Amino acid sequence: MPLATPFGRYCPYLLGSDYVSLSGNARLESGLLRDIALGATHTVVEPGTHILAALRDGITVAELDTLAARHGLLNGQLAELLGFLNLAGILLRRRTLYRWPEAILRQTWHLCLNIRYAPLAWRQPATYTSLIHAIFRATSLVAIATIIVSLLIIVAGMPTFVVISHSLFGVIVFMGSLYAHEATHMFIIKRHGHTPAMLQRGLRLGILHTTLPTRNEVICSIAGPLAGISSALSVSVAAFAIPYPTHGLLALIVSGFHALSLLPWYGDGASIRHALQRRSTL
Amino acid sequence: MQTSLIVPSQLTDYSTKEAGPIIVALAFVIALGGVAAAAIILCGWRGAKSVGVNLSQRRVEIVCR
Repeated sequence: MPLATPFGRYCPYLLGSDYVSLSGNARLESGLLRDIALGATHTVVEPGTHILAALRDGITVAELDTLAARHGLLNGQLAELLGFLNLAGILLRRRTLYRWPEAILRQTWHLCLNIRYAPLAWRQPATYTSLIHAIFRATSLVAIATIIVSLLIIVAGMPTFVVISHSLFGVIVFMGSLYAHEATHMFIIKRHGHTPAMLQRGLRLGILHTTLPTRNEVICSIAGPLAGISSALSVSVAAFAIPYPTHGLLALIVSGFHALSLLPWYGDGASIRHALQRRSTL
Repeated sequence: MQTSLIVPSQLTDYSTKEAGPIIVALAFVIALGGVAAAAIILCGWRGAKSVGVNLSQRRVEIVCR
């Protein structure tokens, strides 16, 4: 089969000294890769089984490269396989602490050359507790950016207390509404008898699950953003009523973020579009 | 021709239910930071008294202290 799916772009940056392995969510059985949590079975084409067998036991990237070359594999094929494993959140990477500066420098240099890598995915069983952990991981960059911007605004002349209160309020409303958004997806998926998993990759936070019937998929995709919108909107109404108009405006903007995820190009909007396309092709 | 080493199950879509709001939120925070940086550049360390957006004239008005 030709390389029809661009999984290679999901391959994370790996140093030769990185130790990679398959996560406990995946099992290799007679030419099949089973995603245990999701109940999905992927077919492995020879000599991919040798690579996956080595990954099951754990191997350094340099050794993996040698193994791939021994089986006549091209770099693109190995990157595609690793990209798929990262997309599914079943690729684990261990890197020693003193190797991190080298990895960051190399990635920055590659970024200057317009070569980008996908962040390493983090996957956990979807529970209401693991969701909190995933939200903290996914929003850490937003939190850091908020701190930097808050400092800039303080320097630009706004009173410190006002800036801190607004920033904290914005972050709390954002994270709270994000929790409502994702927890609603999770609730509906579990209610339909599926076992979801939580996947975080860089700024992306997602719920993995086996395909739902079109109607349920559409309901699930709409319900998440609606929960996010309504939770932020209710805080906004309360803030306007107190009245704290700028806090109200901030919460209103956060509800707008959730509304944007219904656009058909990404996130929940794309899920709805794909579900409807699937139905029309049946 | 390069051949794929894996044929994914048709029953699992690994790219669904991604929460777009985080990316939008980061863009919003960066935009706010841009305005703050502009206020510092234009007004110096004394900072701005107010920043307003005039949509009809498509202008951002920064009033220095």
